[in-house]
Amino acid sequence: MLRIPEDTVKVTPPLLTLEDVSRQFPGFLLDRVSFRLEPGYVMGLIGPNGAGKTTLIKLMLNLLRPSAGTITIFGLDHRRHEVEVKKQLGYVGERAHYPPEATAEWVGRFMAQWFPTWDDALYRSYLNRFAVPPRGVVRTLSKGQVTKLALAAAMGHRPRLLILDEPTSGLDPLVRREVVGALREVVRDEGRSVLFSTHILSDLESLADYITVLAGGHLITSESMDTLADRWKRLTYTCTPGPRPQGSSSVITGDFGPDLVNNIGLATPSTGPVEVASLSLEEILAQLVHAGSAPPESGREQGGRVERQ
Amino acid sequence: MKLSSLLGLEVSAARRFLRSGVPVLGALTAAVTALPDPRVPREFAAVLVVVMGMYSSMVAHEDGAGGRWALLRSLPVPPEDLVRARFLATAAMLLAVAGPGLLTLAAVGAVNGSSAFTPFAGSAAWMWAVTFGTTLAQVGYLTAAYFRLGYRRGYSLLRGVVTMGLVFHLTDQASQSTSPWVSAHPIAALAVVLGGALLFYLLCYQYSASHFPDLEIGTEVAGQ
Repeated sequence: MLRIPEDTVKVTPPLLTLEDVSRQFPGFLLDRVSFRLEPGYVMGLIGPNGAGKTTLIKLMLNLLRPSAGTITIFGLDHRRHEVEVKKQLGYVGERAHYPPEATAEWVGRFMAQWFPTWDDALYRSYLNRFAVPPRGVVRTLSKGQVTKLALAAAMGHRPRLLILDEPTSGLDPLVRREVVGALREVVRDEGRSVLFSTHILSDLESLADYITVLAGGHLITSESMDTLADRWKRLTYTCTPGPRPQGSSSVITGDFGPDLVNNIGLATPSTGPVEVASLSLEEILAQLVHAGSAPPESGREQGGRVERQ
Repeated sequence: MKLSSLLGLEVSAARRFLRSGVPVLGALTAAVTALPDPRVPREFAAVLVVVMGMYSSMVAHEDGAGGRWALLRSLPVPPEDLVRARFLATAAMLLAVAGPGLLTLAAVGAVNGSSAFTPFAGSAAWMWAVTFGTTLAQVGYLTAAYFRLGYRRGYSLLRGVVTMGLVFHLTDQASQSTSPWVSAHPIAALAVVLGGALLFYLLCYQYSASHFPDLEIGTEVAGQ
């Protein structure tokens, strides 16, 4: 059974809780996924293509039914209280799918009908902030502008939870940076809770507080970005002269700690200090996905792999 | 207001198709098939336009509305409203395709009198009624299948050669029919065909609305 990481447990009730959520398809199994997201935090949902990210989001939106497990959003069962839950939810997908002839103003009027808490002034302020012309027709807007329009529309009712499913996928790097920058500003200024699914890890580097990793339908880990960065390190040291040729070696560890440095020192007498370097999120993901190719017993336990390079 | 808003969103998905001229082509074909001695085989021309129009509209509709499904389902909308809007929009699009042709037939009837459709069995009006009824029933079936099976599976299973062949067969039979009962009771014959199709359409709607909580859309993209 998958364990919910202790470092995510807080006193306040979580906005989103998944407990042992499974979904079976022919040739694919989303297997007992559990994690939670606390209010005011941004969680990156990452993993390679086919990991099950979109399936998981479809389950949250009740587009799919879980084969097993429960999903609780705002403390409510997401299926039994679907309308109530969705009133407090914002969603942006990979494509916005607004009518091509609609204007940003039309989108605002359309959304206002469904959300009792819709704030038109706030929506217009987002449009202004994101440089989306209110009277701009969707078919004449750039892809980046449509994505920003979708973000504005998803946040115009002050959702307690914003679910983003690969919103930056397909955007060129410059526009992507612009969209992520706009999102970062809003998250920073307003403390929104966000679940951000993406395979573009650089989007999350300065945005996410928590990272949940899926691969092949399995939860690899769900933990804070700080914890992840603290325990994944590259250690580089110089070997002493001897039977083997002198040179620099390095290992990547997912269980970094002072003891590990000492152990390396004992096992491989080094001529100099062991250099410790942080890994990028992309490097960490590569290690986690590689280690998680077999179904994990626990997300945390997958982090203990040590690889020589 | 809310339902009309949803309806507008649904219909807008097919707006490009409606602008494509298929309804106008339908009207022209209806005029040709209503001529006393058409040079084009009337059943072939009329059926081709209507059936191809119907399939094109379904494709255009589902391409737009299918992709829009996640957006719609993210809204706090009772699922029954989504089903209602989809069925209303689909029927409206079929009317938009067949409507001009039917109006043209009515105009021909008004100009030439009932002699244009006598005998009624085998006439252009009877053939169009059968075509419209069959396509209405089939569109209802396809829409219910969309809710039941999802976009791609519904597409591949039900929009195939078999269903196309069924429509061709029925309309061909209608165009060559010399049934005395149909000719003697044209209004009753129309009521049976169109009423039966409408009833079937409503049953499809009722089925989809009542089963919606158990249905899933989009299972074809599992594992993404």
